[in-house]
Amino acid sequence: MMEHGALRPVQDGEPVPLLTLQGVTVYYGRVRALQGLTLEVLPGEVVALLGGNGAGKSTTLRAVSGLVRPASGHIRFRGQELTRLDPAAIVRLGVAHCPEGRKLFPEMTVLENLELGAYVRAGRLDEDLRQIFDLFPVLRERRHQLAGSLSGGEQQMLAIGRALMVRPTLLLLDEPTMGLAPAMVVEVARAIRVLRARGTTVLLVEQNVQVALRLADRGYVLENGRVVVEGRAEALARDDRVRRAYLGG
Amino acid sequence: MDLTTILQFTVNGLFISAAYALVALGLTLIFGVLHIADFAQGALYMLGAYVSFYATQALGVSYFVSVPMAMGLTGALATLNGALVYRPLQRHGGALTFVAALGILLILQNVALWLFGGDFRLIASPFGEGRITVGEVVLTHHQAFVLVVTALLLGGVWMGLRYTKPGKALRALAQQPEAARLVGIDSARLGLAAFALAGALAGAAGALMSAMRAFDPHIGAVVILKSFAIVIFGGMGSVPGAIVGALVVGMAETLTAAYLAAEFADLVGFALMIVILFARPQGLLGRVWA
Amino acid sequence: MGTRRFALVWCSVVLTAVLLFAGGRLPATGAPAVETVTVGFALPLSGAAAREGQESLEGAQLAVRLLNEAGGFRVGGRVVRFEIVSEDDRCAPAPATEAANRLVARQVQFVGGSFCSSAALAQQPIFAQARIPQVIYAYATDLTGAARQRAGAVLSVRLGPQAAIEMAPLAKYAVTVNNHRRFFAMAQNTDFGRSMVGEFRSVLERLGGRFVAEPEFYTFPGTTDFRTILTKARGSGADALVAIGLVGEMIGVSLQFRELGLAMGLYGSDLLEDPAYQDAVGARADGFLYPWVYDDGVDPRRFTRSEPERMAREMSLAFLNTLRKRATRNHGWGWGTIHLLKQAMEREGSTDPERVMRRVLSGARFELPFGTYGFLPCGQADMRVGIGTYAEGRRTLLVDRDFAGRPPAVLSATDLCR
Ligand SMILES: Nc1ncnc2c1ncn2[C@@H]1O[C@H](COP(=O)(O)OP(=O)(O)OP(=O)(O)O)[C@@H](O)[C@H]1O
Ligand SMILES: [Mg+2]
Repeated sequence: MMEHGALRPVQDGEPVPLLTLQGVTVYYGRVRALQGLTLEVLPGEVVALLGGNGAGKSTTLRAVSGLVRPASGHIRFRGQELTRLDPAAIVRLGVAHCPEGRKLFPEMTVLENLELGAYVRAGRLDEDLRQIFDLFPVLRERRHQLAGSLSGGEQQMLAIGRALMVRPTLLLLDEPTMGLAPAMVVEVARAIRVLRARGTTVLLVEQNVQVALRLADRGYVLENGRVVVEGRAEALARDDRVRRAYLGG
Repeated sequence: MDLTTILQFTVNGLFISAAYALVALGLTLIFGVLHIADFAQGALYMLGAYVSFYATQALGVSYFVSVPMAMGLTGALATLNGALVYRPLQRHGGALTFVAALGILLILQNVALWLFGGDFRLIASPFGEGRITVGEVVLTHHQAFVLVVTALLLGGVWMGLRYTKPGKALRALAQQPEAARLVGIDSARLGLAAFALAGALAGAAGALMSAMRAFDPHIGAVVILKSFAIVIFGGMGSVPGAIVGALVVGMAETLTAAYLAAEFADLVGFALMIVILFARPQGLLGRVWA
Repeated sequence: MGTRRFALVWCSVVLTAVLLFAGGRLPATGAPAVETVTVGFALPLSGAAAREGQESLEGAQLAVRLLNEAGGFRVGGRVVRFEIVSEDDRCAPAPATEAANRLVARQVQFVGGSFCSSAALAQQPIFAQARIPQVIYAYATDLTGAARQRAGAVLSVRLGPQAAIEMAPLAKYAVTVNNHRRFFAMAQNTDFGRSMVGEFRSVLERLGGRFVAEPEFYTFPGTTDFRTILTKARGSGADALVAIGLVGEMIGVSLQFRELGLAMGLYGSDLLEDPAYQDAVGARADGFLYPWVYDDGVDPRRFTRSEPERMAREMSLAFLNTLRKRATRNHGWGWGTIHLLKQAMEREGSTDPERVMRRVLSGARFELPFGTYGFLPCGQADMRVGIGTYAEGRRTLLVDRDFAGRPPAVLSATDLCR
């Protein structure tokens, strides 16, 4: 289970995927949220997951980070099977999940939230904190303020910052611009570009398809828990089906 | 009434509050982290008293050693309850754990009745009759000891939650369980830690208080009802709420008995709780985050 | 005698013996006939008064065990054996009602209990309706007064003291011997607590004493800290405190009374004579006063009595010999119920509940664990208590059961049927 690239024959010159989902099916009770979903993310890529409400985007991320356990299928990260690991083990492998709705610890300070992001890691955090504060300077000013008292945009930055404290190889971002003012959306998009430039691989769920496709290298469109369209971001942006469904014509 | 009498009432109220605070703190921790109303903590209070009683009487152990012994044992028992009863039941919903909690309380009560008999026991205080008297105000050495130990325990838990890594993880788990799992906090293990801590606090309360109050296997049921009301009053899951709630209720009861009549003490205590809950449904210090 | 006839007689003897040992009911053909009388006990077997209830039951069980081991007793031409069933009334009206209904459903012939006033008051109409005689232990005055009349519970009797029997001599002792006239009163907020305080107050006031403040009634069950009430008592200028509660409460009251350094007398109910109280409080109870109900003759006394209390000694020895423990007043309730019924049945020559109770209420005297006495028409035991105290941690009997009736008399039979 630990051999790299053992999933399928690797063609010459083709990079080994960082994350592979193969036929993943997830149920919530009787509701089938994912039906044999298959996708892959290559190292260094930003991949967008698109789709309407209830398509299964969040569920895909939750399956990767171990919050839900698939009924069938495989999820491999650097060749290692994740489906039987708990969230703590998965985060130790370097997979950080910044969840939908931010899910901060409201009665803890900004600093405490960030420290908890590094919960599974030993050692000093000064350097990580410095980097995050450089990325989001407003958090430095507010570091002793309770997370629950931050504005929506600041909360989103903190949520991303907390995930970055993992020093992730793969960052799962669920709707980071949801409910943000345009200026804040720009701010978050800038941060994602910075991360990408540093070599962090990102799996990005976004309702805002224009923003998503501008940030992403490739994208998958989900419908009813399945991939219905996939391709390069530029191609998807031109794809009629995508335009009709998500870009309003 | 003169000043010494008023001071004496204050001392009495403070002392009653100490017992409430220790038990309520454990309850609120468990509730905050696991959303379980662990009425079985009442039985742990009772067992704490018995452990200290038998350790000092039968084994000849010093009282000062018997208190940590009681805490260890009740902490372990609470952890077992958590692991063997509550955890398997929890995924079937809150009502089940509530019934289980009452069940454990009754079972432990009856086991104690069978093991120790129904006779009233009294732990011999190592301080004997020693007392501090200022004018007419009396504080026994044992009471002073209890107040100091309670303050240390409450302060210790407070600092631990605030500044240690497991403490922060517990708070994180209480505030946002899903994100806590995402950052790698092992909710099952920390849940058990909350049980252990709460059990130890209840055991400590039992061992500390029972040197001046006669106890029998039923003492726990009485203690837990009031403490649980205090947890709701202070704000379910709120640590400062439990402590402030214990103080407010303990003092309100004492002052009612002092200036009105003892028969209204409980009434006023509960009435105050209801009034405050009308104004603040989330409890005195409970918070609502969107 | 032909062999066939001999065989028949022999068979019936064997059959009788077998049934006797098995404790079953005998069909009318056997001679002598054995009859089993079922006595139901409605007692607090769990909850705040569980110890008292359990001990009452234990007293009844031991009495029955010893009687049955001796082959039962004769009533008319038959041998009678007792059988005991019990229900937990948890010392509260609602479960007491359920317990009573269950006992009625189990078709018991007599009932013992309850120990608790509120429970007994709830049960009285139920047993009255079912015409099941009830032998009550609780102290609330009403149980042989207004409540009994309302319920039409003509078959109910109270085995031992009522509030006035305990409190009248105690108040008299306070005023006439100790010159304690100004009292502070505290009691559990129950029929028991209120009756006891009320009776104490009425005799106290008749003798020129008074309460310095309205009595404090604390919550029952559940109160363990009495310091605030005691602090009030300390500042009230009273000569003494009268405190009424169950054993656990009285232990707390006594210890906290000492702790707060109250410089006044303390008067309690007969629960102060309980061994559990003595074990816990020891010499800290020195000087406290209480009604003395159960007297097995072992404790030191400051008077001589011509007539020892035979049944108390018998019960005491039985407990020592079979269960290796000291009998208490609580054991006396159950034991006394069984022996009252036995003696009344023997004299009446019948086990019919109504006839047996008519005999009990006839004024005839019975030998019981709390003395030898009869019953008044209202069902009250026409008995008296002495006064006891503690000296160096030992129970000490100060005056005998005749104290209340000596001049100035504070209690007569008419006081007991109001
Ligand atoms: N906890 C849950 N219990 C039951 N059903 C759920 C749960 N969470 C999601 N679902 C269902 O699973 C399906 C996929 O949900 P998911 O949250 O993955 O969608 P999504 O693509 O993230 O939608 P959105 O854009 O609205 O966030 C939906 O039909 C949803 O109703
Ligand atoms: Mg979603």
